[in-house]
Amino acid sequence: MTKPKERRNLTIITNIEKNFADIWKFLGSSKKKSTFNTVKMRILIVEDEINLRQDAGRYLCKNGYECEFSDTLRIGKQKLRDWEFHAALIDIGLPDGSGIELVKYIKAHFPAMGIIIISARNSLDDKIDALKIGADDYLTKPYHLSELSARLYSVIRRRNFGGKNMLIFDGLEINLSDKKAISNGNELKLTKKEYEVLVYLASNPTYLVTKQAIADNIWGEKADMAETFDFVYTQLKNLKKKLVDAGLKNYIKVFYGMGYRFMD
Amino acid sequence: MIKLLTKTILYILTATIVLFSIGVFVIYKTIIFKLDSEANEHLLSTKNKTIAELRHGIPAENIFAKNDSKNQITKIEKQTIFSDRCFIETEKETYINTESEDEEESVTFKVLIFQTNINNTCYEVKITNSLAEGKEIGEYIMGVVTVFLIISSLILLIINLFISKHIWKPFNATITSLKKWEIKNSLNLGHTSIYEFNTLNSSLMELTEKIKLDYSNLKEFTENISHETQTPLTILSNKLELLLQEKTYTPEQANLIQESYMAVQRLYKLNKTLILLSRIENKQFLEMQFINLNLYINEKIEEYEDFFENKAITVHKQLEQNIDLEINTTLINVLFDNLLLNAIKYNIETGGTITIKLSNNVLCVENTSFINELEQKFLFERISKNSTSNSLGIGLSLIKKIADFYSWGVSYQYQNNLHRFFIHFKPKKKE
Repeated sequence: MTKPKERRNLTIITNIEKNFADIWKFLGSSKKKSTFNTVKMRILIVEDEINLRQDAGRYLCKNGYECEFSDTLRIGKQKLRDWEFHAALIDIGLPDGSGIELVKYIKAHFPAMGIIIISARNSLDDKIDALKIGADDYLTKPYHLSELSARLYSVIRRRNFGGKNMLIFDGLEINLSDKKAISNGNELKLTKKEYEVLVYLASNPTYLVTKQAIADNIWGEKADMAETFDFVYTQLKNLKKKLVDAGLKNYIKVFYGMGYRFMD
Repeated sequence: MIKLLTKTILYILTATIVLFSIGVFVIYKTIIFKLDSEANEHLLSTKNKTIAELRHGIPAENIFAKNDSKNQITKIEKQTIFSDRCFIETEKETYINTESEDEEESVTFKVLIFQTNINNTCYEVKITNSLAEGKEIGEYIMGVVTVFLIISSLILLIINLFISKHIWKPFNATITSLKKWEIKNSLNLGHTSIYEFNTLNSSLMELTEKIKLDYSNLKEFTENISHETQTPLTILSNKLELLLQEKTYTPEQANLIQESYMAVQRLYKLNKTLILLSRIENKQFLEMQFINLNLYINEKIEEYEDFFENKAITVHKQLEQNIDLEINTTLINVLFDNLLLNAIKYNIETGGTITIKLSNNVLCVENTSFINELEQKFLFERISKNSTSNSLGIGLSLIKKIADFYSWGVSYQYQNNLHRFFIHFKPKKKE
């Protein structure tokens, strides 16, 4: 990966925000083992609500990303010219225009970048439109940070690893292209949902992923039921059993009443 | 309830009958009185004529015909003369009609008997006048009057009917427009030449405009609230999610965070549903496509397989009809998700059943449940209070909203401990 270009224009949105970004950058880089082992992924977050971009930044930085922030279209474009990014999270509703414009700008000038659109409007049409203009994924507010992280993870891996899109852990390999989990050379017999849960957890390593987030990820709109939590429990119990039965270590740790962590 | 026109006609009819009866009675009495005085006058004039004839020396026997039993002149003794007074008496005589022997007719006579002294001869004169002729004329007149009155009141009634119909036309038009009025549209009532109706129309127009404005303000407010709460909710959820990542909290703190997080998630869902409701109201789901309901139901059941299994619910399908619906895909998903989710969520702990029936354009989702019969009233309203559930109301109001959007009917039935929700489709024919 190429080194970031030198910053020509130093644009500081707010001092506080920059400090936050630096802190998280520092925290992220100080981790012994980042998700992508050696390469730092740089993400541009364009979102006018300060809390939302900072929280996304914090979460992603912990996960080993480097984040740059922008609250407007103008600054977003400027940052794109000054830095090199692997992916961008773009809110549609920006104070100085539509995020769609920024997507088109990125598509024209930086075609290798992954783009996730974040919108307050939950509609299939918007989703189709967003994907049509070249976004890789579409996320509606409100979203779980773990969901955001998993989507971003998936987009970046797809863009950068293409056909050999593999997550490799100690004895466990997840082939994202073929949608298979392999343990020491043998394919694990997982149901579709179990596989999805595994990938979702694995793309948020060491993070506590809430039951609600898992339910929303797998069942979407239908997750609005008390039953889904028992259900998440059943799914994870089965998944854990299958992993352990295959002779793997216990990757998935339960945090009672809250959620699960994937411990690498 | 009686129609305004019927009511008017009834009143007019009653009044006509009463007035008519009084009128006929008065006319009858007048005719009788007139005939009577006419007969008296005739008798008196005959009397004067007879006296004059006697004075002129015409022999008494020549004045009236000899065989005339009705009019007679008799010579009497002088002493019997008491005055020039005379009596008019009414006599009734029954005789047998010569033309038709069976019929007995009574004829009323007026008789005048007087005594007079002419040239020292005393006479008693009896003059009789039959009232039969006058009575006949009277009856004839009465008949004509009656017929005329009946015909004229009938004509009046018809005229009244037409006038009323014409006059109340703008009023009926107003009622029709009011019935058709929907809160989204302006009520447009025409101008009429009648002052009262014009006032009514303009008042109604003002009133509905006011209602419309209030409604749209309220709707806008709800929409704004829903959208404005989205961001803070996301922030709150994100912060809690970040907080969960900390590893230093006590179990008690963990519990507090967890509970807050759950509450925020519930608000999320509520917010999403409210936004969805207002989007349906704003007609933002216009894109339609034909969906085969049978295939769709089968797919949905497959999709929910896990949920059924989880509660050991047996699903029965009775799809007796094959229909295609023209519908927006998002809306049909919301509709069926809510129907099935309610049927699963409120089903008994384990081993319940769900039956999906489709026949005669009616879809029925029937399920066992741990809750008793739901109150029909306000069941499909948005803010429906139900002690056992907090999201049933909003799910049902979504179902209702979508059904309304396509002019379908929804209904609910509780029988044999089974809850049944019906959707009455109105499928359009595929071209």
